[in-house]
Amino acid sequence: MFLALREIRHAKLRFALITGVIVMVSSLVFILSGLANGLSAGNTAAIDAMPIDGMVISNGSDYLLDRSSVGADKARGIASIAGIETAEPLGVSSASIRKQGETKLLGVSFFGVVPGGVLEPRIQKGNRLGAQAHGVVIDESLVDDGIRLGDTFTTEPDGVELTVVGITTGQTYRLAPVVFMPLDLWQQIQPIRQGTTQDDVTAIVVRGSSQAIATIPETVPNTMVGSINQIANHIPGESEQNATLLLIQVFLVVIAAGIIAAFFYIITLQKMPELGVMKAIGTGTGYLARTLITQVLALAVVGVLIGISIADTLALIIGNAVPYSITTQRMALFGGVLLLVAVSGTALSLARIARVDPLDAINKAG
Amino acid sequence: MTTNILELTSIDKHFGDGDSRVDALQGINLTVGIGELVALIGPSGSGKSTLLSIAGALLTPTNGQVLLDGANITQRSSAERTQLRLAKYGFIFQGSNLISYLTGREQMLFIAHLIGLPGAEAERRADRLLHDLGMTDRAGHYPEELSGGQRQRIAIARSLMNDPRIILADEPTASLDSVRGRQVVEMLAKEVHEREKGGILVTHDERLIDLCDRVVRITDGLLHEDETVGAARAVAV
Repeated sequence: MFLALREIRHAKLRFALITGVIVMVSSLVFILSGLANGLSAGNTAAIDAMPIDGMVISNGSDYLLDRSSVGADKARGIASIAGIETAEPLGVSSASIRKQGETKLLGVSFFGVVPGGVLEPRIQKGNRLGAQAHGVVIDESLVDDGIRLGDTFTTEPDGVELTVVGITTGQTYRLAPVVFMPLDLWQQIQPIRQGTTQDDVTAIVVRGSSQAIATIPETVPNTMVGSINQIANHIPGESEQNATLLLIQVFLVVIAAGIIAAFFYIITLQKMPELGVMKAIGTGTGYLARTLITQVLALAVVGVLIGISIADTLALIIGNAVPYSITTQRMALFGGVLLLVAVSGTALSLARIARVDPLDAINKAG
Repeated sequence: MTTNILELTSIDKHFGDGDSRVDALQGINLTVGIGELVALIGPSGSGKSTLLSIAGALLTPTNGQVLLDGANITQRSSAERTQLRLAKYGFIFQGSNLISYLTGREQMLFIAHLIGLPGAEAERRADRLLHDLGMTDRAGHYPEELSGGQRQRIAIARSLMNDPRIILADEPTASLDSVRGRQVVEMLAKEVHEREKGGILVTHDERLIDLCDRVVRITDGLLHEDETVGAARAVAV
């Protein structure tokens, strides 16, 4: 485009300022998206990562694992249903642990799983579950808290000693690192609540056809089934937090649209006499419209790219202190939305350009 | 075969309706021949802007006929008139005439870009016109860095860039002192004569009319040929 870049070149400061605004807004959108994603992952990663098709939980638990309690022995009955491939008990609880010789308490999630079963975590370092009677596998984020392979820590307040035999990664639940342990150990250290027995677990995880899973509550009394998404979304605060952060991002994008629209509208208003001359000497409205859209796209692309690099740099700086994660797809999505919003922000200016009358170039006083 | 570039016949232009109707032009006949620069003179509100707009395919008349090079352009659509202005007209306006963010040379290349002239040919034509108008050293300057007279010389060069049939100049000297104003019109007249274009110069300044081949005066929407200068008419009909 002949005019688009020459105009930007001539009014560098003006266009640099609006690019700066786009940079700030887009980096904020990307950072928030990363934080929202990170928070959400911290809440649900361990559930999301489970290679299962559903969970059998107690009827009336409303998909809240805290409220669910199912007899471990029911796994066998469920496994015998036609269409169900696997059924394994899973114990989930929140706990506090303390490294030996230290006073600081750490909040963790205990997952009791069947050693060698479908829920056994992928080991990054060390050994698998079951190698040692009180051996556990921890999420690597606990390593940042000073717990290493081979260390021993105690559960609080019961004082059960557990030894780290392996380290896994990406396993967090309700913003706490997950400590995997053999199911029987989980059952032992689990305080017995009213109406539960030592044998009870939190849920039975299943793999199989969705039709077969849906029929489980008919054959196993007092149960309901939930998908991974249902369970994850019912983690307390999860959906509210996601909605809040999404709303902030939507507002940011809307604000960006408003700022870009206002900026280009003002610039267009300032150029009205010039646009009249251009039309008088034979420049078509379509040409002028394409010029404006090219400018907006050029600035928005540059702004969004700088925004992405700022967000990435910030993510490096904050490191593991704050849960942060953003995928390329999500960046592309938000980047695309910002570009779209920027271009749609030119609508007002385009309407103005269309209404410019080449007659305005003629001296009216005559 | 016609010897006239532009022929306006029985042009009326009304604005508004009923009681608020304004008859801006009434029964105007005006021709511009090859190599002829016509001065159009009239007081404020006389209708000379309206007439220039109709002659320049910026406005369509209520009645009458506009022929450009023998072709009837009276009822062309807005988009067609835009194309026509780009192809056949050169315009020089009084005030913010040039595009503020283009250098003198780029003003010319922009026209070449619009008409699709190949790069090398465009540059050759731009440089020749800038040279003819004595603006070669100032070609890389932006309008804000040029004096009023220099800006109008660039505007003349630009108006010739598309090799138009006719050049319309709307008070090109209004912001210039009399010496520079006269230089600008001299250049305009020279280009019109040498390149065999048609030209209409709208002006207030009676001192410039000796540079024109013919003078027409417009008052209250009516046109009068000015006999005193009519003798200077350059084109044999």
